[in-house]
Amino acid sequence: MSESPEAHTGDLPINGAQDADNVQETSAVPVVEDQPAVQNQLDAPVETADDAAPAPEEEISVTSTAEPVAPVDAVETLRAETAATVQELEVEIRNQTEGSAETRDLAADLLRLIRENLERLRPPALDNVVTTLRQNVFNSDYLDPDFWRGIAMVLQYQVTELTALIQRRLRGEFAVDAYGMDSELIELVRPVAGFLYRSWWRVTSEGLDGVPQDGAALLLANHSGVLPWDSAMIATAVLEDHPSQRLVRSLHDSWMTNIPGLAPALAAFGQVPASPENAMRLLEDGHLVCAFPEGVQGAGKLFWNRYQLTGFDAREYIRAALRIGAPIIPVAVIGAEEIYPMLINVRPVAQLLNLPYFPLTPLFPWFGLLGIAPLPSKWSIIFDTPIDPLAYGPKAADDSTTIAQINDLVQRRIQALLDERTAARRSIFFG
Amino acid sequence: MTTVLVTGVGSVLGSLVAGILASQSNIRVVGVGRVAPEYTPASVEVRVCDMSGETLLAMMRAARVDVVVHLDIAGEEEAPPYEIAGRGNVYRAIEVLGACHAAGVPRVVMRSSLLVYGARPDAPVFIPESAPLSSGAPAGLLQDYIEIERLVGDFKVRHPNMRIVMIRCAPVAGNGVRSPVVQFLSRRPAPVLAGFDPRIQVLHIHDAAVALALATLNDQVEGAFNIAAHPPLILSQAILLAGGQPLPLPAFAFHAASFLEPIRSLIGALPFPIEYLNYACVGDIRRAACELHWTPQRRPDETLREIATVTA
Repeated sequence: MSESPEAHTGDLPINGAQDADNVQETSAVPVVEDQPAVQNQLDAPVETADDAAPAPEEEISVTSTAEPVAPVDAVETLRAETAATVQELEVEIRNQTEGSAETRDLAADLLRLIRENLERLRPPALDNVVTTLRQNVFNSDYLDPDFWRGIAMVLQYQVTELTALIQRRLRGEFAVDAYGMDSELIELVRPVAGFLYRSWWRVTSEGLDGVPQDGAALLLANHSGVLPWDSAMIATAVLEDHPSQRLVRSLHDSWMTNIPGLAPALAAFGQVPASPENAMRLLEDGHLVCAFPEGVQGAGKLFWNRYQLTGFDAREYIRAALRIGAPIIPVAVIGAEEIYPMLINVRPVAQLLNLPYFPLTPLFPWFGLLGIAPLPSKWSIIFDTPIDPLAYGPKAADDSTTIAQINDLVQRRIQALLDERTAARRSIFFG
Repeated sequence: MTTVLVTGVGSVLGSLVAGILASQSNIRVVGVGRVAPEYTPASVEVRVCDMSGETLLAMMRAARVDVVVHLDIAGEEEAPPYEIAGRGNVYRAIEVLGACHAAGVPRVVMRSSLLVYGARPDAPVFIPESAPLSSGAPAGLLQDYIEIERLVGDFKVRHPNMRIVMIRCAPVAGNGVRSPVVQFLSRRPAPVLAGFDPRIQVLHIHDAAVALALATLNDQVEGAFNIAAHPPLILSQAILLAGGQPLPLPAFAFHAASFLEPIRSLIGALPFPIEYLNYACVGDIRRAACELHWTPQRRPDETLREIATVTA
């Protein structure tokens, strides 16, 4: 029984959770010793059956460096306290009357930047920042050179932390979930989405309490606005204003997976190509799924057809929701039709570029990149009362008539909300 | 007493599977291969032969075999020039199936690949076993698997009494083994399509061996099973973890490689068609959890880190 060294290279004990960096230091465990461990699993296959289903939600964390273990609550308290103090100081500086206005505003803006960046800091860097803030910034006047030195040091820590984040990602040390969603990237763009939500489109959202706190649910929304900003804003509404800050998994048309750069970005932000199978799988895993049953037809509506649902067919998604028993929530988005008023759809150009439509708007393509900036219309997003799938009985998922009825009901409810709200608003830009 | 014949016992996977089976009570394991394994588990009867249909048939009759586990696939562990391997994998599968039928062996467990579904933009995010297979790939290991799958499909129609289990494994790594896809992942540079980063699955060789052993021992199961570590990684991350360096290139660079020598040497041979750099081919492993009671014990990042440490 000869044992060659090659057979053992990189051989880890089958149940040993070891740091990969230590593989070569740990003595290679012979193949023989592996097998009893494997055998244990084999001799009792039925016992493992209950926990056999792979945890779909499980995210893997691939950070190899040992993080200092600090209680999460303590870190969060420190973060919140520091943020509050920085904010107080910012307000105080803004209210001061002496000194030049420029210096005052610069100091206040820098403090705001520091406060916003605090969210992203992890324990070692966070401690440094807090110490520096306490020593140099909190107790000194903003005209004091010590104040500015403190600010500079804090910013340097924060830049170092961002660089560390990029370097870590370049080593492959980040986590995505089973669908490719990258929570770290979502946190990075969250301030931008928050800005669009609160300041650019001033979105008011209603009926969020109808969206369940957890478990599967299906949102069905009207689609508009050439680029899927409506999808992003529905997700932001739930993420920012819903009590449990859920992540919405939007279904996007699968032609988007053919566009370089867009496909990985959509996956990183938790979006999944639209198909009944994918909707079913997401609902089975207990996700909050958002579908746009009009598809590209809805997004590519001409301006004079705005707020008229076209080709609304959610039947396969409704079937999936009925199978799972997930509530169906009609969603009406008002304001997104006006962000890119599409006057003409140039079909030949669209065909040439292999796009679903090629819009001419008052700004695009005449003003180049400026034309891609969406107009700041006033939005509202209304989450209608959920439709309870259990009210339709257990066999509803196999009954095409019931499904068609629910589809009609959802369409009528969204259309009624759209008609009512567009009639009630006085201005596109001010609501 | 169940007698199991394991083909390809000379490979690392073959010797692992034979070892696991031999350690079970009431199982007699006969291992055949073109070469003897470097390490032979105790109580496995190893025979080295030419693997022709006639030899196998005689062996199956003499040993009264109940289950055949076919793991003799060239090109998974060693890196033979494809000219030598030829279409040997497909012919060998035909011979093994024919011998099993002639010897009256009721059950066959075969190793297949998870990539047989092909990479398509409209594929489900988790492909079930019932999904259609890829229409084909350039000559190579993947095309062999696709042909073997088709062959088994036809064979089942003609011989409905034989129960055939296809274990569709994600690219395997571990124990010094690096399958062609994992070798690609650890390349520096590993060419990828700029602007695309599909999800990809890998599998630790121990998990693959356990799945094959469970399929052999469970005489209730039939049909195909997806076997992979969970959750999937994204391609660029998998390359970084495996110790490679992704090099994003535009699609035309891959097409230009067919006539421009410098680009060809940079890109090298891909283990799969270029679509796999574009779209994901990720299998749903819930059937294996449910019916085989198999769950992956190794996380994909651990598996790839192990490879990176060994290469470094």
